Amino acid sequence: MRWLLRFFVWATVLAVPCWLLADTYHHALEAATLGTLGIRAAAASIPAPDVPASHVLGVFAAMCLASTRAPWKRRLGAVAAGVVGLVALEWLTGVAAIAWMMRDSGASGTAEFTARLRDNLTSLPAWIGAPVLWLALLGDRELPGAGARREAAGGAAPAGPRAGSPGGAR
Amino acid sequence: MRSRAAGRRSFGRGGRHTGGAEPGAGGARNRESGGGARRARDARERRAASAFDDRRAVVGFLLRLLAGWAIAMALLSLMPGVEQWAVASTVGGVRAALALASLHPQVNGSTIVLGHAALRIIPECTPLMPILMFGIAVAAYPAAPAWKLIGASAGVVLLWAYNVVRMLALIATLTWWPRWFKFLHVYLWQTVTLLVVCAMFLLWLRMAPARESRA
Repeated sequence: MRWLLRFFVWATVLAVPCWLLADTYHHALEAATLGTLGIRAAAASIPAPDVPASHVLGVFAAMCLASTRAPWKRRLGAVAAGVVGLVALEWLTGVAAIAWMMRDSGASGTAEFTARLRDNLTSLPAWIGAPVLWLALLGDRELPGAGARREAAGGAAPAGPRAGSPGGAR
Repeated sequence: MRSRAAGRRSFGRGGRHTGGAEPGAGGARNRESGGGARRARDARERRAASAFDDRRAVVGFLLRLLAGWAIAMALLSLMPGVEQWAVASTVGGVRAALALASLHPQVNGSTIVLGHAALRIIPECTPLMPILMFGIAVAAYPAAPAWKLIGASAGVVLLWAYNVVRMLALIATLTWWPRWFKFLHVYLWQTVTLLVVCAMFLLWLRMAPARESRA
């Protein structure tokens, strides 16, 4: 349970800068998305999402930094790689959503299912982007059983304290 | 504690031999081979094999998670009534919780009005996505089907209750600290919700009954 406490503390600390950066990051994503699609529009034409995209970055970074199994080098590497991945994911989601919307608005009688599917899919990164990337980058260390089995297999891994991480003694 | 936990919640291939987990067998082999170098090499090989298993298990878990989300999104898109039901049940739950505190809000459609505070419940305000997060993770994790069913059922109830508490906290914030509403809304929505889902998932794993040996 120590991992949860560490995650809570890191996420709370990072929530403040992420909140302050929310508008800037949103406008940058807008500009990149509209630029990719070659759309000349005011940057403020895309409404801000309810959960700022910057906050997802903060939650992801908190998940990585909360680790008690992976060494610091690996945690920081995961943060760097994951943040780049999340920015790319947000940008791609934006591009895909707008392109999909433009295509559907040109067609007559868009199926309700398609429109709902688009909305559901484009809302996914805010919910699962951080946990899925965290699993991909640190899951082999942090998932229950994984680190313990490795420890049993060959002595202590160079990771520091283990108790308290998601897979640690609880 | 550690060995027992590893046995109970083995994530990768449960049957893979790990020398440290079976000291009798490992010790016998070590005595035969002799020499520290051999032991160190064996340990390195076992660690490498174990790390490979861990990575493969994580990839499998991730693939099952993503497949689960794809199915869930398709089903949600096919059945819009689910979201409408989730909004109605959230409004009903918040209203009932306020009634327990002898407060009687006005409800206009999906908007709850209490004093000066008015909170409109949209599909994203419902526990639907957290329940999906938890349920899909439980379904994707290697465990006994009955234990998955118990976990998913308990998750629905607990996350629904958590969401009602979250809504009450937001109404309180809107009433007494309206300037903080926007920040707390995002903070409670994203950070605390994810924390609650993770905590429930870890609790579910911790309480899992011992798995049968595959050896």
